[in-house]
Amino acid sequence: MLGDVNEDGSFNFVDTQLMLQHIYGDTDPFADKTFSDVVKIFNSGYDDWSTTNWSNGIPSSTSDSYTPNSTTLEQSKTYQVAFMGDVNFSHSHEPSNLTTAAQSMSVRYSSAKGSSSEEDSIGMEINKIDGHLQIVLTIPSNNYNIVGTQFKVYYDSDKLEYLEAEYVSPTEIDGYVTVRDRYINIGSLSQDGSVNANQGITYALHFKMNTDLDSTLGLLGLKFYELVDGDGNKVNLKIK
Amino acid sequence: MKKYLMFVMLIVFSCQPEELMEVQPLPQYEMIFEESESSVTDGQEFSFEIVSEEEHQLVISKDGSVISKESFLPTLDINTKKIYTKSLPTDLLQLELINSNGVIKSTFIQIY
Repeated sequence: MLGDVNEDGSFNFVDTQLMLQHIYGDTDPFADKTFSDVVKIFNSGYDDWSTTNWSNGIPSSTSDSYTPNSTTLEQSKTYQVAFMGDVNFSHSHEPSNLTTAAQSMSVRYSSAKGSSSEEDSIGMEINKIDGHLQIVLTIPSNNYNIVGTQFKVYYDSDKLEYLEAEYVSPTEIDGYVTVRDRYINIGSLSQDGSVNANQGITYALHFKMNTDLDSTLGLLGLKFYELVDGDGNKVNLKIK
Repeated sequence: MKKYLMFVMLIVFSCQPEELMEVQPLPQYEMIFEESESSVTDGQEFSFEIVSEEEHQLVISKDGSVISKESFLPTLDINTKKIYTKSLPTDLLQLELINSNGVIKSTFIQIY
């Protein structure tokens, strides 16, 4: 229910896209909302809903009335409070009927796999070639069953002009790239989790240098990246 | 008369322009790896000493994960490079100088 951020009664790709936009600061789906718009106060039912009937119990009002019993001096009333978009319940009441699979996202550290150090890292190369700068990110062959990746590469738009992206994968996992004023989002996503990146993937971004610079350190910066396996677990590989 | 001539000579020589010796300023280097931590700004130059001409890398990382890097062929002795900060996170980051033997110099840089 908290994931239905556009409040259309269904939780789908549109909601996840809105939340990602909020996280990455592209646009804010809550920009025109006030606190009372995103907080939900539940009198009952919050702990009983399932994935199929939750949309029937969303309170339409952000207030609730309670008439105390005048004959009992000490009374208690319990409410559940939750915030729209707080899908991991970090700031909201966690439903008591939450299933284990939906409760948390675990992080799997690469050292637990017993692989070699080369297999446990993502390669990064930044090369200056004939007035162009390119960054190459290489996920090596692995057995992590990675079905989703995202790399957020920032670039100095005063000194670099984005040209194109390259994407090389032995499998048919879909690649994507989104271009923003100061950064590029590039990655892969298997919508149904049926295709993974076990055979490795290589991403390359190409930029033209507006002026010939001897130094290039810091013109490109990988500020954020994420890898997720088919079970929704975050795969924690370092960039080397 | 002799005294008068001496006086004139004294005036003439005292009015000669002084010869000023031009002193060339020594180049100033920001030897960044000699500090344990430095604040850096966009486009700031920094220097470091190199003792072999093989390919080196300058690597910026955080928590062991690389954020940015540059590979280059150095000259022997003092090398000067620039660092650009607009695409780097505002944080305390590690800057390392690496060659085929591994990390040879390391320091921390604060990006604001």
